Amino acid sequence: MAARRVVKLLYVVITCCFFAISVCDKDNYVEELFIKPLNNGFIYTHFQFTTKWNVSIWQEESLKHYNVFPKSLGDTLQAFSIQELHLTLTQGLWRHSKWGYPVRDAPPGAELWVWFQDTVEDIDQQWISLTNALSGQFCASLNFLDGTSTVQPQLSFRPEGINHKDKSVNSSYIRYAALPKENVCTENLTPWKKLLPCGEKTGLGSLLKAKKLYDANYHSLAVSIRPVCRSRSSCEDPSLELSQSLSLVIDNHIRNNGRRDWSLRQLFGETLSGHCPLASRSVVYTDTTDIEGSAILSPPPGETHIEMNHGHTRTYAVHNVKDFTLNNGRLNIGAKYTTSLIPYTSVQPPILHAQRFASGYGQERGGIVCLLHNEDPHANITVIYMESIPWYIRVYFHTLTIESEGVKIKPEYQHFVAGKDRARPHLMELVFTLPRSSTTRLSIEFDRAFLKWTEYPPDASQGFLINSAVISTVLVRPPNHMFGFAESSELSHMFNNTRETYFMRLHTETLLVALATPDFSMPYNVICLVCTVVAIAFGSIHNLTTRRFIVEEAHKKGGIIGKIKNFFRRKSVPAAQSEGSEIKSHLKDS
Amino acid sequence: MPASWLSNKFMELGLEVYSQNFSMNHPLKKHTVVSGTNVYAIMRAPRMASTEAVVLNLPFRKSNLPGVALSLAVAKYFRRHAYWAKDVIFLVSEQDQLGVLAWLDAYHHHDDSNSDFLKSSNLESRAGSILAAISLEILADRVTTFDMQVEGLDGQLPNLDLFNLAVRLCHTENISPTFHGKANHRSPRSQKGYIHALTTMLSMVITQASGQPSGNHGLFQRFNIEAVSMVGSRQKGTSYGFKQMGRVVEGIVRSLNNLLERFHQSFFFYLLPSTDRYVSIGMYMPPFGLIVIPAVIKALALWIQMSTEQTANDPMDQRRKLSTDGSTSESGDSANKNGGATLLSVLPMLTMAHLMGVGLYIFTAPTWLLDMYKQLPTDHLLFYSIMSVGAAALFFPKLVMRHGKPGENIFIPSPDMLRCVALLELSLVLGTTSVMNFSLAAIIGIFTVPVLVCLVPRRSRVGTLLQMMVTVMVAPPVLLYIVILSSKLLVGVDGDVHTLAIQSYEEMVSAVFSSVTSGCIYGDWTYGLVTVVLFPIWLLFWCLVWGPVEEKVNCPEQ
Repeated sequence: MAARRVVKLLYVVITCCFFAISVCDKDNYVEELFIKPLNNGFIYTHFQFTTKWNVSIWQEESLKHYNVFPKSLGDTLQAFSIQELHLTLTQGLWRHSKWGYPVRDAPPGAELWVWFQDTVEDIDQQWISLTNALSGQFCASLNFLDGTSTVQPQLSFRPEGINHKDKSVNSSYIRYAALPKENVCTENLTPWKKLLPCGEKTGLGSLLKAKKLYDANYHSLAVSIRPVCRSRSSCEDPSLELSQSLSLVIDNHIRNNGRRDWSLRQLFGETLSGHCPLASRSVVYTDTTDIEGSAILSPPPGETHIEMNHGHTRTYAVHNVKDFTLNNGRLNIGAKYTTSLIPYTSVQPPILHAQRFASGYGQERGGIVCLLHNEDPHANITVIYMESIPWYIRVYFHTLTIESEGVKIKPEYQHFVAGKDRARPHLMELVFTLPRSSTTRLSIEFDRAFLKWTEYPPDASQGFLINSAVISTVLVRPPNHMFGFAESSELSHMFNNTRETYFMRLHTETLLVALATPDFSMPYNVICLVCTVVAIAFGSIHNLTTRRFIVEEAHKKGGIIGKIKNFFRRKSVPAAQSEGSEIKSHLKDS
Repeated sequence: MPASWLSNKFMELGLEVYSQNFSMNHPLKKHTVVSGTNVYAIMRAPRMASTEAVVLNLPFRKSNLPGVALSLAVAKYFRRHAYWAKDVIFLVSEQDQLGVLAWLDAYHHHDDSNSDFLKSSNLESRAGSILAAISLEILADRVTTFDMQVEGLDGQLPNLDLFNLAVRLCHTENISPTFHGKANHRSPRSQKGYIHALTTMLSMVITQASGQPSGNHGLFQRFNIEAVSMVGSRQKGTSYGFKQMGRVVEGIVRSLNNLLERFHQSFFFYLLPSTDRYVSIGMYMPPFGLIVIPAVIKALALWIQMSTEQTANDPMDQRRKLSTDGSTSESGDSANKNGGATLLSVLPMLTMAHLMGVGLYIFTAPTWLLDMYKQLPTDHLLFYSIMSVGAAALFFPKLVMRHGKPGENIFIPSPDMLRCVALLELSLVLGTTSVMNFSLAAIIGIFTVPVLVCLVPRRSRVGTLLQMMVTVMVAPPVLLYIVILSSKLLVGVDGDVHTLAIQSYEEMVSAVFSSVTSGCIYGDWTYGLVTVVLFPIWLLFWCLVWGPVEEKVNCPEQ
């Protein structure tokens, strides 16, 4: 115990030292890597690059003299008067029920949400310009995030950083949009890497080789910028924090031909040759809780951190890159397992997880169903559930039902914004409570709209994707969720955290819905042609069968009026004369 | 089914495994509960958001153990590769189509479907929308052929591309693909080749017309998932082991994995004379049109004729008619009014006939009745109850027409008008059915249209009797018997006529039973179509044959 206390004390002292240094410097850059072996042979790695710049985002003059902070982003912030910006680009789906919670949750595809400063006049216009700028900067199709996919959530997305001290939060300054179809690849990674002070030359950035990164099962790039307190103790002066993170889940089974052992070289194809000289800290954390006893970490960590909370103990091995790479040494952290076979088991799901799917089949009616599981046997969980659904999915809000084990649940708060054709999507925000150890089913029905034929994408028959639902909640520190984001994005802040509750956001599956799609092909043309022919044939046959031929004798009609009529008729139908009688056809409706 | 063993096997490969229980109260047999377990394993595609999936279905039977073994081997092989873009679901289902229905119902959260009969537990996990499914049965350790089955509920067919894909991949591994148990003829252009193709196609037509799925794929098709069944079996010739079979399966699943979009822009309407040839809708529809069009023409001719006659009967127009040589294309003002009245006069009979059909459909299987006579097997009992109602319907015309002649009683329409309306309805029903289930429409059309077009009320007793016999021949149950008998002859059964007749009868009874049952459980409409629409139409013609001869009738055919 004494040793542990000493370690803790030492750690506090070290953190304080770093802290002191960071206050002195104007820019502070920290690079961190977190490795966590998951169940069933998956390995989760999370790169966290945090740049903190001691300037205030609300002062126009301040963003001028750049040191470590990337100028391209700083210019964007200034040009569009942004207070907070959060962008994630993700390939794959984070599977909460198997992998627990990630450091930063992200939906498949691209997600962007921005808080603008209240000095902006036309936010919508600013948003369009911003998405175009970011689209160019990150080589993503963010420019498609126009009014038809953008919403203003009231509850789900609050500022993550601090707010201007004189102003309150007003949700008219937020814009949220997601692009579930976006594919993420190297063209997005390269500009993201360029924002790093050391790029991929040295430090943890040197591990980012596209070939290995895009072989992972899950891959998520994130950039978020927010104002934070300059120090833990005082919030008088704001700082600007840029957090760049890259999450990967690697299936070690496939990578390593069924062997369990892993190492940095094997995961990333590289070892660490040194730290980034611009970084104040360069650290690798490894969660060794689950592999203790079954594997040996090499090289042995410089220090071990034991975290106790709510009866759960977690152990982290800490490798300081600087210490291990002195004298041209190379750091290749790895684990050697005593048994080489991966024991596949069914995994205990985390406290809160959700499963969403589209119900119904065919192209007539459909529905969205979300199953929210609260696995906590003691506590109810209150969640904010948000759906933003494209306009061509016509949602019937009256069909919304939430029920848990047969009991209907009434939402405590509802916020609906009905969509407008070709203008804005549907937005639904609900607050409701999930009873303890239960499964709550939320369902809503929809119709599919017909698009104009020019509105279909080239791969229309694939179907249309609906955004992930966003579930936000506050959890009492869950056993496998380690990170609080309040003060700093740095991973080191996860230690010695005394907070009782944690804000958490989950993203569910995206849904693929087939709309009625015309067959843009030769048979389609043939059908059109045949229909035309049938229509013409129908017209003439209908005409023939309903027309009545009336025999009318020319001299029968008496009176002056009749004669005049006859005169005109004869002129108009000269060919109908035969054998002293006129046959005239009158089309009469039968 | 050794569900836990299977689950463990799939889990050892690193797949997500779940299971589902289901049970069904038989809709016709009381106290008969069918229950089972489905085990399904999902192989998640890396880098993908689980929006699309491909299903490999394995019906669990003693005979299909090689198939289940192959699926485990294939799963192990699939897991090792990173090229997957769609989740692959391995579904080991019990109780044939019922298990698949329970699973698909739960997968699509399809609440309202037949929950009276089928109860199933929820699925724990899903994998997005299912693009295609392969139902695999392997009956031996080494196989020579893969038999392809395509016909689904109500004659639904999968996209031809999927069928072609399976056939091509069988060819690449030298395993011969067959269709209805028949391999392609060696010389398809010879006379024997043509006959071979014709018999293959006819067996497809008969299977499709039954409206019953020939395998598990039929249920997938109901949920808008393209699916085929492949049955591997060993016959004479070179046989191939698991490696080749595995390569075929891998090839199919990988091809489906590479799909960018759902199956479209290919044929959904086709007939197959062999595995590498097809008859498209453009080819088979014109002949079918020619079969049906006489009914339309006859109806139109009758209509025009009636209008003409009314003109002729009008004393005012009598003189004028003479002056224009009795041409049929003329008519008087009064025709409109009178024609409308005549049309209305058919309505009571039409409604009553259809009501009888609806009654037959609804009260087909009173469970109390089926319960009461336990000494008879249920299928026979059901058949007798249907036949008894049908036989009672034979007296329908007598019931309706005992009170006089056309014009005196509103229930008795003029024979011509009745004929006209009945022919129109027949052609309408055949036309619409042909788009849904071409084979059914074709069989009905070929047999009924020539007979029914020629039916006219006759004066002579012999003529009437003859007509009655012919009409009974095309009554739905008799037609069914004829088709079953001819299909037996087509396959070529040895044995004398007597056993053949008995066998066909038994088969008919079981066909009716399975049609009613599948209507209840799977929700197909073949039985409904026959009872609610076709049988009433037949009744109208039956009335026509029985009905009085119209005095004024002066048909050109007579």
